[in-house]
Amino acid sequence: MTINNLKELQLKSKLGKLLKIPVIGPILKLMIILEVIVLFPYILNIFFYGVIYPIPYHRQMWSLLLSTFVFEQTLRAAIPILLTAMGGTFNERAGVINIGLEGIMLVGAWVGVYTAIITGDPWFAALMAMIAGGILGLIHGILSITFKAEQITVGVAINLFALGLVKVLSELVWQAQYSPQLDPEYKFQRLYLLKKPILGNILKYFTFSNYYTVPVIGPFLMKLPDIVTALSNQHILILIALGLIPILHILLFKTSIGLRIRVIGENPQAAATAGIAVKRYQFFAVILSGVLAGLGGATLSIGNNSSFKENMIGGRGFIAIAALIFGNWTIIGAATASLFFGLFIALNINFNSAVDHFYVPKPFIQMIPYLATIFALSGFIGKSRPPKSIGKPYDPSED
Amino acid sequence: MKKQTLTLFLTMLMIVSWLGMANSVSSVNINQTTMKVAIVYSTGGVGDQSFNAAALRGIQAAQATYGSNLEVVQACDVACDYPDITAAIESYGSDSTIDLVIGIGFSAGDGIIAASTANPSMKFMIIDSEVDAANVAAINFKEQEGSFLVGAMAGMVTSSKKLGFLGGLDIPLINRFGAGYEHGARYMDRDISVTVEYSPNPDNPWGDLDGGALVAESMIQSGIDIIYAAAGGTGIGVFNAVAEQNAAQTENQYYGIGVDSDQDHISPGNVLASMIKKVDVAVEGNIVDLMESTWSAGIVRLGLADNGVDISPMTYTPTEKNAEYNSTHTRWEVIEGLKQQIINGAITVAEDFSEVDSLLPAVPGASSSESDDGRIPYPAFYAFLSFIALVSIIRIKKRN
Repeated sequence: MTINNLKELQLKSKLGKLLKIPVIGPILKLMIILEVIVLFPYILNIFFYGVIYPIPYHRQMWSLLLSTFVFEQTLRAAIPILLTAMGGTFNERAGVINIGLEGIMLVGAWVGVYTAIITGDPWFAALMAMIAGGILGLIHGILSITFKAEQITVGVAINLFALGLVKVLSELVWQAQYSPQLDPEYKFQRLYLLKKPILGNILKYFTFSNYYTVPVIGPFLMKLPDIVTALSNQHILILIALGLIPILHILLFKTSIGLRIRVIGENPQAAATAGIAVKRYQFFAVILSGVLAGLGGATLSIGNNSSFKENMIGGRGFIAIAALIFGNWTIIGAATASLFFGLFIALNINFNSAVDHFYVPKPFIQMIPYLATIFALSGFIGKSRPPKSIGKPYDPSED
Repeated sequence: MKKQTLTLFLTMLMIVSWLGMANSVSSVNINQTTMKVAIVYSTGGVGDQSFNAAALRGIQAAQATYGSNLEVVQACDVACDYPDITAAIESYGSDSTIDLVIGIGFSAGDGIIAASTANPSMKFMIIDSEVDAANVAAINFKEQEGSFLVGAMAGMVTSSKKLGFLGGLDIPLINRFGAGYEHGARYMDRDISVTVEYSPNPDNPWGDLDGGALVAESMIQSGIDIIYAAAGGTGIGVFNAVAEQNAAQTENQYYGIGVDSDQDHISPGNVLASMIKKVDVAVEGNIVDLMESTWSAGIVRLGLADNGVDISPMTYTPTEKNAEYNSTHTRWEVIEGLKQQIINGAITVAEDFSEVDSLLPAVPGASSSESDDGRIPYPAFYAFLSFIALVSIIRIKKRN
């Protein structure tokens, strides 16, 4: 049975019809996805512990999934990945693979902490991290676009270069593998908007917790994550990153710049024939990707945390690449996939305390999003299609 | 005549050479010979402010004592990888001019095992790894005893009676920290509960700053106010989260507890105390043993009695340290008393979480009723499975 047949069958069934209804359909879809997320650990737990009673398990699991705190932690864990994945989407849409995102994040994190210690201004530190990321992106561009080097090799070289650079600089500046802790004023502090005098009073009307006492919808709202409260407890970089999602989406899919970038990723020769300066747009995409990855690194070091350690990125750059592939090379998709990965980071932390008799080792929970990525790549979930000329350096002499 | 002269000459030569030999032997006994020690640091390099830095202090102390009689060569003083450590140990191990090869941390384990089997006459020393060989001195620590002290301090300081423990990995070495901590805390107050968590990213258990911060937030959310982090760099994420919480509000005071070296200075005022593993004492002691020819192989465990572990002097939290525990003793005096009791053997500290309950003094009237384990009885599960199978068979038959 091919995948298309399976899809037809799905659409003909009662569930398929239900999923097509405007408002209920998407909610139902989300619930099915969440139920799969709930069921998979249950099945794993059978192997590691035994068959536990499903109803208390489901109750605890769903209340964990829909708790405000997990939502808050999901955002915090996902945003560095999200920023990097969105930048990577631009990069790959312009036909350039950037494996070096991990290294760029690392340098961004280092520059962020160093600048924040020197100047005491987190905004300036974030700007410097973005510039440092942009410079690394530029190096990637010069090597892979101007000199047509193999893009994966260049990316790996950037990762190794960044790792070595950061080690040497840390030894030079701090004589240690990690930085001293930043003063709370030197980093992006959490906003706690609800506690602010005027804005808090306005925002209060948008929180669910304000309506818990209302008869009919109150108990229902109590079960859902309180989105406004969770957002108001974050630091400003997280809100900026969330605001960047629609902006970058419009830039890539609704403007002429985005159209040209996408055309270059599909067929650079055709784009050149149409009079587009191929290399200039590729450079733009690569540098933008570096800037966003640098900001992603800074989000980790001076937003979520207040110090630097040489292995603090720990593969988040590669997770971002997985997220943009899982998101099918679109901005919205990459953002959703990053939030999905972040959800698993948050769940992994809160599983043991929130769910009784749950003894699945952490690596198994952690691998679920990557399994999903592999399934997405192999065509089980939707259709995943990379830009056509990805990884091939553009050579104007070829035709 | 000629023959006699020759014989006399040869005899004199022999006597002189004997004297010379005797002289050289006696010089060994009086002055120490030059010893050459090779040290291979662990992955972080000497800038890790922890294990390697402590080992370097031990080396420096030994060099200060023996001066030019002690020659030290070192590798991996700037951060290097696991294969590099193994290669460095093996090359030092086959070098006959070296008398003792020191490996730091369990990342040196493979190299020490390989080199010690290949060179049975060479002396080896390893920290924190139970290598059992005839020419290896494996120095381990009774981490549970130091953790007992910080646990007892946390048990006196906590106001919510909820403590947290963040370990790097679920392994016996790390669980010794946690068990000692829980034992110490519940020794002071039976009602204290200790929540145990492990580093959320097992690929990067010792360096995941953000993971540590997320775990700490999750613990603080559930009412925990003191978190003991035995997870290397992940613990620094815990300090970051604690510092952020303390800066954001003033109702509750949260603390982290450091590990391995005195980490109180990393976040002054936010780290209550640290459990110190005296790697410097171990390294220095082993070199002294080598110089005094009292070196012996075998697995050693250094505890409080051997000055191997300790609680930090709490330089940045003096008010908590000197607060009154009861009318006669301050908290620090209580800790000193507990230290003596452990050294005397009056308290045996738990090495695993399962031992804590049995080692605590029995509470009269406390019922130890085991709650249900949450498993569905297997017959019921199989009945359920066969029910599903039956239903699906019927449905398939109907369709056909």
